[in-house]
Amino acid sequence: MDSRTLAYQRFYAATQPIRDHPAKPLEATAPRAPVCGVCARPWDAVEEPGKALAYRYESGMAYQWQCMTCATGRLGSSGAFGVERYSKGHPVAAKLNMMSGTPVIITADNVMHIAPPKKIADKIAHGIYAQRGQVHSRTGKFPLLLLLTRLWKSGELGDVERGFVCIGGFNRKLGAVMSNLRVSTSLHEVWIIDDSGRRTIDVLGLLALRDRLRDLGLERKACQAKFWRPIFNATQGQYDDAAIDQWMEQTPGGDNLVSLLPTDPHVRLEVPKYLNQMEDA
Amino acid sequence: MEPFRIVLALHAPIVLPDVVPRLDRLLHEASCRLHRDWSVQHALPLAFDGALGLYRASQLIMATTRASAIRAASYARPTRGQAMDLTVTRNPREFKISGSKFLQKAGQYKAYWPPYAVFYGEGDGRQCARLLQLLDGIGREHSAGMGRFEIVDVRAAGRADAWQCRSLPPSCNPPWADTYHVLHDHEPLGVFGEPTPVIRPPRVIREVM
Repeated sequence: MDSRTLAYQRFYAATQPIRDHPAKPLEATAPRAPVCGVCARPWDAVEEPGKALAYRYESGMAYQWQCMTCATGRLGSSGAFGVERYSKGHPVAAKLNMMSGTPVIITADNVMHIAPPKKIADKIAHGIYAQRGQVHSRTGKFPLLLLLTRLWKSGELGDVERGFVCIGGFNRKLGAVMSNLRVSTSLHEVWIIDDSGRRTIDVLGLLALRDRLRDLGLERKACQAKFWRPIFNATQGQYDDAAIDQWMEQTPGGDNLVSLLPTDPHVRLEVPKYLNQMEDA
Repeated sequence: MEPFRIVLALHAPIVLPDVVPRLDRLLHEASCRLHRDWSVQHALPLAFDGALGLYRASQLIMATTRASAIRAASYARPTRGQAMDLTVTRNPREFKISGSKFLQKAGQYKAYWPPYAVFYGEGDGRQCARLLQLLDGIGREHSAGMGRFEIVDVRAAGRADAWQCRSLPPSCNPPWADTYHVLHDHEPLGVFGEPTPVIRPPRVIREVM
């Protein structure tokens, strides 16, 4: 099975409690469009064939027909998550779409793990996911790698080669996330899906870099972007020969460190951020 | 049929599609443009490997020099706007990526800007270069000016197996297995066809010129 289809199946299976306990009854209708408006799969290829939910961004705009898998992120579910807030005394159920900055990992065994900020974690503490222990506490601003390495070390990630889904965060662009789902089958190339599309990071490569920095006693320093300044400047198009030579002289094992840095310039620029996340993993 | 290397100087960043640009697929698109026919499989000036069932052509390799690295660039474009009905974008001038009611329909994409890009292949290198010049650019959004290039060098490749830097059937023992991690994926091996299980190198590969 290709990596895209498998990712939708994993997402569908992992989010079943949301559809089992909807805040409002689901009004599934026959679709009036040839394909799902988000994932663009034909209606016989989606997880619930021929069933769609109509959605429009605001009144006056056109309707879009979404398959049950793609619409799940918009469904409020007080059973699965809990009550997000009260509006004029009425409870408003929490939904995946509203959990901004919350990384989600769906393991090879179709189990969804999320690491929301503390504010959100407190609100959803009584839902099914929290009671099953799938809502994780977090530190730092970008906890995706922290969650991933934790799940991997504890064995909860399952057999990596069977494929897991790694979502960086839903934020406001649910459509951009749901249309880009795909599984990762190696920790050397983890596909992170977020509202700016898909990107890959080499998690094992970053762990090797972290270990090397630890050996050299530079672990704390390397968490700051200014430590890498001449290298990062070159990655952003400002190459300064003299500054790089000076950095190499000043940094013990500089040559080796540069060879361990990720080839992908976008990941390279985010190395301090990722090193911060992996601190206690 | 000689092993060759084509070097492209890049004038704009490349937005990588899901399947990394590959010489045989680019040449096929160029042939389609030449013949104005997208419905048939054209003969390419590349050696066909009958045993593996693919043209001997490498994927895009980013080439850097001593003085310039692969540069991190970005590109903003609508994400789901094109999939929505036309009535949704009532006023195109309102379309902003910094934040408005269209926020959820636009996104920033990561692009790569190495000074040069390199392809390896086996076949008639000069003919391949002539064909390649028919394309506006490589990668996603090439029609919007991304991945614009100029061919600066075509010459015999130093190594005969350099074209194998691409997705291959899982039974292969690729020469790059010592350098890169072998990744398992699904990709079409030929110019046409359904995705099949393959092994491939990482998407971003660097070569120092």
